[in-house]
Amino acid sequence: MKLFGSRQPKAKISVATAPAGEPLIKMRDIVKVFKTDAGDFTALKGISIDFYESEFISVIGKSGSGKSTLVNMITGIDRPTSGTVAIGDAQIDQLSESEMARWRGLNLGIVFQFYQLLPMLSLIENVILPMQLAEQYTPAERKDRAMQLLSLVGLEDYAHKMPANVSGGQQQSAAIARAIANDPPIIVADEPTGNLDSRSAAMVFSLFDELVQQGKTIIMVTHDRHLAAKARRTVRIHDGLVVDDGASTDVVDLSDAKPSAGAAEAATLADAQQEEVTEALKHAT
Amino acid sequence: MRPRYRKVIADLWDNKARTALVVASITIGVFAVGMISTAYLVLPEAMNRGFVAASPVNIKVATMPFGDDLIKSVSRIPGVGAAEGRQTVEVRITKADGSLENIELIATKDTGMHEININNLIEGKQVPDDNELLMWRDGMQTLGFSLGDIVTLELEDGTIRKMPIVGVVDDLTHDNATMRQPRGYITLDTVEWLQFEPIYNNMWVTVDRDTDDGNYIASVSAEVQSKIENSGRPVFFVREFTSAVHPMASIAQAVLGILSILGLLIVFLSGSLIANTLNSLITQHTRQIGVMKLIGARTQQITAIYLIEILAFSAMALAISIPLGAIAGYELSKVLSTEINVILPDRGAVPLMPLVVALQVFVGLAVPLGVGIFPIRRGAGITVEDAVTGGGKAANKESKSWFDRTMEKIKAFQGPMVIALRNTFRAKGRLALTLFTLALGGGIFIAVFNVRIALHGKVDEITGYFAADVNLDFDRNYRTEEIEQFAKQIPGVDYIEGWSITLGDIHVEGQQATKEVIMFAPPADSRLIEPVLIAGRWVRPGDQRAIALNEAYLSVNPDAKPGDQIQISVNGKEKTWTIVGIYQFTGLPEVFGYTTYETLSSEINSKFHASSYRIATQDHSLAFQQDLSAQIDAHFQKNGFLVKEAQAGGEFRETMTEQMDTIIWLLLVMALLTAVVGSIGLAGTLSMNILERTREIGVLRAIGGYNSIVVRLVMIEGLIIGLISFLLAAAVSFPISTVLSNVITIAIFKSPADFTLSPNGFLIWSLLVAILTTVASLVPARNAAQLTIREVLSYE
Ligand SMILES: Nc1ncnc2c1ncn2[C@@H]1O[C@H](COP(=O)(O)OP(=O)(O)OP(=O)(O)O)[C@@H](O)[C@H]1O
Ligand SMILES: [Mg+2]
Repeated sequence: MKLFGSRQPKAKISVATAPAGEPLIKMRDIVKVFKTDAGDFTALKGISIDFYESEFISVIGKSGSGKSTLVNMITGIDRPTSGTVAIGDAQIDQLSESEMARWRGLNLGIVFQFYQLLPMLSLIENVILPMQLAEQYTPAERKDRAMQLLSLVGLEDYAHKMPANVSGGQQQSAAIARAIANDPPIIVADEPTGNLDSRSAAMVFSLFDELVQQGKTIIMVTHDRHLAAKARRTVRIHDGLVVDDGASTDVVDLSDAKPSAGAAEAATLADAQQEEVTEALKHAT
Repeated sequence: MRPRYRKVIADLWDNKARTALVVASITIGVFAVGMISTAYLVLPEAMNRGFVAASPVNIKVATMPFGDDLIKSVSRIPGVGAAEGRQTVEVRITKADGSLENIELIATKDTGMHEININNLIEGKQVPDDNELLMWRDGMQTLGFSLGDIVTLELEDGTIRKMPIVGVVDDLTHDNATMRQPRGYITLDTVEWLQFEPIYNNMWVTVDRDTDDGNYIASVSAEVQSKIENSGRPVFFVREFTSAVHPMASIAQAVLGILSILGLLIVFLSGSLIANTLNSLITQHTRQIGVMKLIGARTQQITAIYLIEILAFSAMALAISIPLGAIAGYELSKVLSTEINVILPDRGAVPLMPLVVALQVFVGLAVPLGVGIFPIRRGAGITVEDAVTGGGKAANKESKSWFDRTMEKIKAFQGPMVIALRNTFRAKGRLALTLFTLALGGGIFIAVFNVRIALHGKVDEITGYFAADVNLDFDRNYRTEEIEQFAKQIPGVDYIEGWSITLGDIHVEGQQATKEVIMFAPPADSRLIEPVLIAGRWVRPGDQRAIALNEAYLSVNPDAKPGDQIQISVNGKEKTWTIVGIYQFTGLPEVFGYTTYETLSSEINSKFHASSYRIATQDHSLAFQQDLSAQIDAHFQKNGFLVKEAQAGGEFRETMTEQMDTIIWLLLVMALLTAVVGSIGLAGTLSMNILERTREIGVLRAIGGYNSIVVRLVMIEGLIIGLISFLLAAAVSFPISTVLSNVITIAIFKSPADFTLSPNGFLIWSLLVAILTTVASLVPARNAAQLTIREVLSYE
């Protein structure tokens, strides 16, 4: 089945890196205007921001403030109306949809709120898929690697189950394994824990934390202040503008929030699970 | 406008592709119903009106020359409606292409205004003057003439006569077999001018009532015969015809019957398409329905909204298909009518028929509502909770059948393409309906080609009984040896057989009347006939007065079987013959008997002589046969033989085949209609699949799926469906071919077909399916590739 199997990508896609001290992701004067029936709506009003290698950034803000819109500019899910996004030496806002997809395959892992595993593929097949799409590794290596990633997220016994037959937390764990299948330098997650119970949320958070230790850059949108506070850097968006940017403890003010029981518990659990995950990841990568 | 109607309109408008799909599905079915029922009403009606109006002959008696006196006394016999004398002469006519052909010329009192088998004027004059010719329409085509042409006739003694064609007429009483034979009408004076005696030798009679009652006609016929015999003239032969139904009526019925069955199938298939689309519509609206319920809509109200939506689909479909169906129905009748010798009224005179429209409206409403009510009730009955959570957890946990497990194991598809394979089998109900539609459409399509071959085979079989590559007939007997010698001088002639042909009368036991038998006698070792025997065997060298009769004899004597002894009068002598076999012919009522040349030639005292010859040529193509016929004709004439006619055997075949092909074309039209239904189904299924998987395609993009992967995934899914449907179509084409060929050959030839297989149908269908699936998946594939992730995730 060579016909459908491998086709060489047209241009060699490089993995994004940045020289020491230089930002990995450079966003300049990003404006996003949505055209709606009620008229134009400016969701991002000129944001310039840099993200560096191995940063763990949480993006917070009220619903409708523009968080998803902002990270969509990085993933290429959406394009800025004006302004530029450079990641490594790639000019994200210039790529076509298809080029973008190829670029993303190697450089970016996306984790969605609703997991978005492909329902007709088993968990392991879901994890193998990005490697196949990007033509990374040999078929045998792909399988081994997928298995390692699944055991990293605690799913080695569920590898051959279909997504519909496992829990939400397990699906999200598999989705994270899928996001890091091609070992991308950047992971973007839009409310990855929004649909999870506190235990699973903590698990996800620990995984992220460890990935950062491994040198990955993680940008996570969250509503959960406790989780946000655990990230190194927090960016607060308000009304399409960055209103706060700095060390998490400065930006996330926990005192004015009535923490949900789940979130607090998750934060504690996250610490406990940190150790295990660290060990596992060392083996996987 | 009330909000609920606004929702209906918004639904129809927002998803134009789906609206088009449903409307097209309904349209096809309703169109087929309109087309076929129009033909059903128009054609037989026109057929019988034309036939009865022409006052078809009931009794034909051939006798010695007679005049007006005898006609007058016959017409006074009680039960006789009308009586006319006819003289039929045969001369050679030069065709437009220069070759020669025999033409029958009929003369009667007041030619052109006669009262039996009344002519229907096509163009020119209705009544010829002396030395003018009125031509039969179909003969015009065969000979290549048009109105006003001067034709050249060659008389028996070589005299040349020229006559203008002053009118073209149609005789609506004839069946196909006699139709294409060239015939014309002339006056009695013209008969004399052509050096024949200007008297009648045929008496044509109609009965005054009960024209469909064979017994009544026979009783009148007996009176007519005795009147003629009393006048001192022997009766040579008599033929009786009922005339309440057109001779082609049964064929027309059969063809219309088959078309109706196919029409029903199309309605059925279109119903399954509608079901598919409505199912998907409701599935997509589940959440919407939940919201409507949340704000207080009752199940009943929701049901009503969707029923109104279906009515809107139906209304659009009816608006298109009622006029189109009427037009197509008329055109279909037109095509059929020329084949079965019927004059249709002008289209202007065929308005929309209330019955047809009523039927269309009924089908157009009942089918969509009937198939739509199930998904609608399912959708409208859903609980708010199920609707909002997407059918609940239970629905998400797909239980795995052995089939799914097998799918998961298939390794032929590697990498991302395994997605295409599994996607194909996800919506199983929809897949099944699509496959069903495509397979049936394809099966019919393929079958039509097989039927064509079967019909052609039948034609070969039948023409084989009387036609060789060239049939050569002389006006008198010649020594076969002599003819053989001259024939062999012509390059291209393979071999030649002299056939004895004569008329005999079979005395059927227990019946007073005799049955005429046309006796053919090829040499005992003839290589030209490959008979299809129903019982017994064919005649053999050394047989003594043995005869093989066609199946028509069974209607004279149903108990007849090989070994029976029968009395046949040949050449005025009644002798005992043995039936050795019964063979399959066309279903014509005439009895044809085959015996050996050796037997018959001695019975008619013409040993070593024959006037009728069959020639096999080295090349069997029609062009070669025609070319050689002309050479043979010229060669024998030059050498002083009285050639009556040299005709290419392929011409018989051609004429019959052409008629068969008309039926084939009709079937093909129906097959194409089913194929269209199938393609709509395929395109619909693929686009519905894509629509439901938009989110997944977005996810694929998010994890590195580039355009060509997305396109290939969709295309492969289409091709898998195409491939499976092709295999199914090939499988069902076998039973469909058998049934279809049998129904048609039995209607036309009164005998079943031999099953024949043509690769053409399979090849053409596989090509069509390949093109179709490519096109049908290309569009959704491109749409899928153009989806951006943001659009996709906004579905969440
Ligand atoms: N495709 C779109 N068309 C029009 N307006 C949009 C579109 N996408 C987002 N918006 C608007 O832009 C604003 C920012 O939306 P965005 O999804 O970025 O918010 P958010 O911060 O992610 O909110 P939430 O926490 O609810 O996810 C919102 O007011 C939203 O209504
Ligand atoms: Mg958001």
